[in-house]
Amino acid sequence: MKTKYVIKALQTMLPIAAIVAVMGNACSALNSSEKSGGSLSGSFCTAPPSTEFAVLNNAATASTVYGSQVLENMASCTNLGHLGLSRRTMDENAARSPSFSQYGYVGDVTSAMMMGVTALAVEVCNDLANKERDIASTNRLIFNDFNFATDVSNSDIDNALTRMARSCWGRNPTDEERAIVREEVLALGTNDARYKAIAVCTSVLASLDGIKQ
Amino acid sequence: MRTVYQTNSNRTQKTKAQALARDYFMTNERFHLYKILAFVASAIIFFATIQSSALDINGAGDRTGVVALYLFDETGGTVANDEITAGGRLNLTLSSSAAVLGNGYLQFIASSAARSLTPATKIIDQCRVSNELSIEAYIESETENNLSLAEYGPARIVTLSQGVTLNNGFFLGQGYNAGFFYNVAMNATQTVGMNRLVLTGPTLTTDPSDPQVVRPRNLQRIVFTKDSAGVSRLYVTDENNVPILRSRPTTLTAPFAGWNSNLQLAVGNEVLFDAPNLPLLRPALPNTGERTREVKDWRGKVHMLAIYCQALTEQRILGARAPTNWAASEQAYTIDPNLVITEERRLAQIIYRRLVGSNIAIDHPILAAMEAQLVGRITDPAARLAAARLATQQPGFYNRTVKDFAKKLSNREHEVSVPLNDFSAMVIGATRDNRDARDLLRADFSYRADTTRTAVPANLINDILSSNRHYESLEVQNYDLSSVLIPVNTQYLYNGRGGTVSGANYDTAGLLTSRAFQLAHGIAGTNRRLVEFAFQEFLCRPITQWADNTAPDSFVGRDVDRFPTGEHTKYQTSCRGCHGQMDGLRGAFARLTFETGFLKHALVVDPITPLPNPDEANNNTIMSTMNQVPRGISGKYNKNNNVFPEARETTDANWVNYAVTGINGDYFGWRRPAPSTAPINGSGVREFGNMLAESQAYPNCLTEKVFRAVCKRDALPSDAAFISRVAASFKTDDAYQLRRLFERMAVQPECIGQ
Repeated sequence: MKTKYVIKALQTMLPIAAIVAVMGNACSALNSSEKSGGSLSGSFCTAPPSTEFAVLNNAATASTVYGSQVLENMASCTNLGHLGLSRRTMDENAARSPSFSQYGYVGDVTSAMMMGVTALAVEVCNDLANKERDIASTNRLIFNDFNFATDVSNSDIDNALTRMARSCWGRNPTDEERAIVREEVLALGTNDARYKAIAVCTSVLASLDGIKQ
Repeated sequence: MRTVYQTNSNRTQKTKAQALARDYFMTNERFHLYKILAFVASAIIFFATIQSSALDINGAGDRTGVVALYLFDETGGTVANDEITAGGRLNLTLSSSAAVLGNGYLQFIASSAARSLTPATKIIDQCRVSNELSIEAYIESETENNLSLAEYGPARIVTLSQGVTLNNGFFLGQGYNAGFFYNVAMNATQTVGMNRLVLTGPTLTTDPSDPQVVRPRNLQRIVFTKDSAGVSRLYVTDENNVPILRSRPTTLTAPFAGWNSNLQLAVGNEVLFDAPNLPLLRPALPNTGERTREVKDWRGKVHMLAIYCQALTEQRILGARAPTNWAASEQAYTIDPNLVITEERRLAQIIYRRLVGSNIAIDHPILAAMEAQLVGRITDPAARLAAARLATQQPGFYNRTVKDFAKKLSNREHEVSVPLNDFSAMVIGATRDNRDARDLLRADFSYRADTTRTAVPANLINDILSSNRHYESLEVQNYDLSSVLIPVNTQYLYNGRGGTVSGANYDTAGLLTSRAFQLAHGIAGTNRRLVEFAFQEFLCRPITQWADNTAPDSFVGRDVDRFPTGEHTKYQTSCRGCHGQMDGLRGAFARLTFETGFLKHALVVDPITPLPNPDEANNNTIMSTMNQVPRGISGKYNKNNNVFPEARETTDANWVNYAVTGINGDYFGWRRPAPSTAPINGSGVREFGNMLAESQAYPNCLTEKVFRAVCKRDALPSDAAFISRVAASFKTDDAYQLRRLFERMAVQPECIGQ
């Protein structure tokens, strides 16, 4: 029951956290590094209809993962692979995939899709936390500072967020993003390190930068 | 401590094989000797094939988690011994002479059972603790009582129960519902009438497109496994003795904590099948006769039975055929938060992401290797191509990017959510093997799974030609397509009567004669869609853009009204433009139709006799025949032939291409040297495909589609010069290799930005 409660709390808070954490930064990050084209510039966050956007010459087109790529992207960047995903995660993906974009158009990103991405991210992160909990910290990829038997510190959370961001965003988190995630994780009101691990992981996977292609 | 039993099983195998041979020789006449020898040979092959599996038929192998094991190798008597002594032997006692031990198996020749006389305490206790269960059985089922089985089934192959009425425990059963099936049912608590949780292997029918799950009188290995989370799977070996996953992974949340402590283990029937004073079923079953509810008799032979209180992993069940974890990195790596992210590393990440279709850690060694190609040469096209080449070596490039690229081409809706099919497999394989992309339209080849490294349905007729099961299973089980697909140097055609022929002499041509393409465009209709979509998908030209009212209409079919609504002008201005072109070319497919689940070729499938009405061409439901009017030509070409009977009748596979003048000539590259305006003539699919492949439009079209896949938008008219430039390189520098085209596209500033 407690697990369900925490997961539900995550599912409620994290989309907000993700959007706040990323929307304020990913747009500018995208604009500065990839020069999203035309009317997408500065408005990746409020994308126009999928097939109707102006194109800038010699500029990359912003796009997202689509269809089965949503789960595969999460499995790949967390290095879980298909075999590291639980049946529960596969079932969640099957349930949520109708809400995912089928072509990767930025304009297809809807609240329904992000809810689905978040729900799926929670399950993938649950798998990741379970996997890394059961191996020595020196062999972990993300939560190498976590002591899953006790609580974790702010610096542990920061370190995990950095590792997740480098894995799935391809960059370091900004100070603002660190502060938001730290705040949201603390707001969970739990001392369970595994739940905090799931929260940190989900904040990255369920973000717009997490689904960017 | 785990003990692995390694026996000299070769001698034991031979002994069992000899016993089988002796059994058949004694019960069959001499002229069946050849059948005996064939069975012995297949049995030996079976034993050899399953050496890498969890337990072989002799019980040799990894016995970790085995709670009870029966080899049925007694030479007679009434007791089948449990080989596992831990927890006490749970021997099975035969209830009557209708259950026979000897010859290396336990055979049920009438209603009987072999059951434990005491509760199966060690199974109950251990499985309650683990909440996991696996059943592994080598059996030969009998077919005598299929109608009865439909009435009272599922018959119990093995059960842990206190009888049907108490409804507790589990069973592995065989049933019949328009065909035989295996199923497993479990119950959590001892509650009368509680619904059982059932996991069913699909039903066999006479339709070859249905999976052949139950193979009566053939040795089959069945493996059922459930883990503590409830994830359950059912595997049954096919004709090649490969364990095939015959169920969608299902979650059966049946905690064993509710099991009754008095459950007994029984083979061949329910535990209480012969209990006295039980009420008979009323009314009596029409085919089976009078019996009680507890009688669930099974017919057949059990060669080995193992009960585990442990879930078996995919690796343990499939061995070398288990899917690999290709989406995870093969190389070990660590995250270095202090590593500076250079511009070269960032460019490498962008190229990787666009080609492989997923994110990867910025610290991953593959990005480091790509970065090394770019250092000091970030704007050098050759350096960028070298970096891209590393990305296209990754499994994700083929399993995501190329697969989705191909899937979109394979269906009319351009959806990526369709299952993997033969069309997509061909594109993936050809891309991986650097095959000339022109072969995709003109060469006789295909791709399918290596059956030594995959456990997928692989019967040529049932699973590849008559259904998509082979390819769908590859994708469902997440096999690495970049490593398990192998080329086959021909396509096969099914004759509808259990036989196949190589397409070498029957004009098969790459994607054009793939099952997926024919299913999408060659079903029903008049085969005009095949031409329309061949142009649309491979030359990027919808019919509305290459229709030409000035082209001759000598090939327009007899089913096209020359006076629609009474006006010939309407025909000249509206109908002729499309039909003149399409009808001229559709002769290429004149011998083909897609019906009853597979592609039919008029020279391979028998014609309907006497000569049928071509108007019924698309109503044929008989697999073994094809509406051909005249003989050798699909009847759909001459249906509605009374609309304009003066027009040309299709009597051969000749075609003519009139799109050689004007804008069409320029776009497709078929313009004849002036002053000639002669059309291009040909015959059959292969020549048609070759014409498309050699056109100027084909490389341009492929480039446009790769642009969409990599650059994430459709090409605009303003991109035309860029597309032409890249297409030219694709032809001359890359020798039409699709992989190189993807690499070239992913490094262009026009695609990924400056």
